[in-house]
Amino acid sequence: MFQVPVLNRRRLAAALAALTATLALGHASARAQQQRAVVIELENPKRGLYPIAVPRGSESDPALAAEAESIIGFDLEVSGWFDVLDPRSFLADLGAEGLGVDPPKWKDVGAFGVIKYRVTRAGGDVVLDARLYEVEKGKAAVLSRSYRGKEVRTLVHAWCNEVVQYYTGEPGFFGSKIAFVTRSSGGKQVMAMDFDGHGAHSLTRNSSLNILPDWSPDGSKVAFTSYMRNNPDLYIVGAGGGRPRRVSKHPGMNTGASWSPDGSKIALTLSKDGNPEIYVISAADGQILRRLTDNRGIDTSPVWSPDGREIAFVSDRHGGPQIFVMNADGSNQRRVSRNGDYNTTPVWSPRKGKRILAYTTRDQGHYDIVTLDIETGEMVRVTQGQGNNEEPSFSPNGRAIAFASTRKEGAGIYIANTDGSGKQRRVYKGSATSIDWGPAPRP
Amino acid sequence: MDGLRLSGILMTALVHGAVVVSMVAFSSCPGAAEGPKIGQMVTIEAALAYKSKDSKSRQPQKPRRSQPPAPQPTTNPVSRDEEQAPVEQKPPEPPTQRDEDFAEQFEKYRQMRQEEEDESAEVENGAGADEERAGGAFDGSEHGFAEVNKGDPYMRELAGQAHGFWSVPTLEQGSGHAVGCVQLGKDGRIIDTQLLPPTQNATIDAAVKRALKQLTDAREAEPKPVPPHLMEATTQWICFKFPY
Repeated sequence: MFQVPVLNRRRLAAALAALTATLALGHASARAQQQRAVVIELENPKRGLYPIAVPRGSESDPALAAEAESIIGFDLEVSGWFDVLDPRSFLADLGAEGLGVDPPKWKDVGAFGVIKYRVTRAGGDVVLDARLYEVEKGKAAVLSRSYRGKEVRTLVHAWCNEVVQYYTGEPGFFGSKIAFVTRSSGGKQVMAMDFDGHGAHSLTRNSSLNILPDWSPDGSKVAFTSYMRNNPDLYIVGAGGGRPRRVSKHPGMNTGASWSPDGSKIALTLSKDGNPEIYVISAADGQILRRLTDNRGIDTSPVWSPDGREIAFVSDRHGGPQIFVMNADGSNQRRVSRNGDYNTTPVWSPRKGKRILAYTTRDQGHYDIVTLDIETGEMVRVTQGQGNNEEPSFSPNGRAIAFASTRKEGAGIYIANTDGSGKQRRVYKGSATSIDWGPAPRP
Repeated sequence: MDGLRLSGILMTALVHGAVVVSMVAFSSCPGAAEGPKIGQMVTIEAALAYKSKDSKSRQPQKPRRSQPPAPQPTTNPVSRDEEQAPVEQKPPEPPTQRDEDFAEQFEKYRQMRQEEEDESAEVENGAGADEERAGGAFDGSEHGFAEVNKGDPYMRELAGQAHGFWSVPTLEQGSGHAVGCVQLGKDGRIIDTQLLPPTQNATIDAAVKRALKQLTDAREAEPKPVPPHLMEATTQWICFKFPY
């Protein structure tokens, strides 16, 4: 009739451990409470980076370990959240620790977190075993993963995405790709590369002008405009390159394509009737579905909001080019940029619950990147006093912005934190325009 | 009317009952007999450390100086009537009980003044004399003299150091505060630290420990002796409320 509680050895040990911990905590707490104390309230804390140690993996293939160390360090630093500590300060015996950690040794060098990994070759594959430790939590890893694949770069990006997800609850953008345009002999080519500048390659192989690339939402295709048939027509090419497919060939402009979030439609500028206006066409066959603008001004650069309900665009209907927003059906067109007399190339932040645009603005003869929260009107200047900075594009998680810059440190594609903080890093050297950051890589 | 009166009586009884139950409950609380908890501690703001207005936690105040006795009206004023006969002076009467009390009070007053002067001279010769004059004691002790005590410079500097070392990692999305405490030695070095209580957030706990360690290291490298009038601070925890 009665159930007698059974305590097996494991449960008993756990219960005793819990009791001991409770008593220990209670004693420590009481020790302070039984003495008099004064409390001083501090205000306005500084915000800083999370100090993390990434020692080179022991028990690893030396070349792979060095490459992994470099990629992890870059990924974490460019995320805008981490301060990767200088390995020269490390006190731990890495050989003895292996994939584990001796927390006091890492506390002493100021690390809050430690990443340990072992990377080896197995057959034709690369195997990565990785651990994440929070020093304050002791010797047990808080995250542990194993990967197997062909490229250490891909595996390390996947691991770093997991680390960012662990700390922030948001997916990382490591392994995503950026499309852009560079000059070539006699024309311009659409290029693609990893977000960190690795593996840049051309998606177009003709001697004409190929401009304004835009990644499809699933990252499998890129839409762009090309003059290869003597008219700026719209084409779609696979993410790996290949023969492009022409989807819009109306007389005049077929430019500035923006995929709808579901990938079924494309918003673009057509000037088939003389004045550039914004239309929506089918991504499958290029059929016009709806005309969205109709006025004397020039309407260009449409870009779909992440929820598909709105479209931002550029119009000079009030004089100089300014940023406007309208509903996806073309209704409720209103100007949102109020700063300066020249604002172009809007892009929406993909952050959920936010309505933030980034765009290029001209200020005192220079072009810079700003963000604008449409709800609050708050503006953040991402670049300032560093040459010309144009054509922003958000990272897949909205935490970073890539843009083209012609600053004295060198022209190229730079990545900055969206809030303007931290160091801006060049990921591509050389002249580049029409920056478009693709979606997050599939896990 | 009877119903209204009855409900009034019931409401009064309920309120009294609630008050009695609360008093019993709080007085029997296990922590009531222990030392001060965070909520009961003297709280001073930021680096400027305003004195708490909580009268329960006020430090002992200097007794007000007695007012000197007001001049008593004379009982035999000088007359301007030349023809008036002089009043005979009565011989002094033996001292009454009231006069004895006054003499005793005066002696106490004189001794208190002497003690104050001695104490004042001691402070002026001590290390914290200038600071004391500049701002008053941080904790509202007898050395404070400003109406709104702005805090002792020594404690302001300590708080400023702690604030300088407090940095919250950007990736921390939560909000709240953690409490980290230090014990000062007489030479100004930090002899002990602790987190009170841990937040169970490893990032914040690590950040607080880092701040306390950096504060300890800074005080170790450049110790600043505690001024005499703050020696009491060396016998108690000085806790910082770190916001995040």
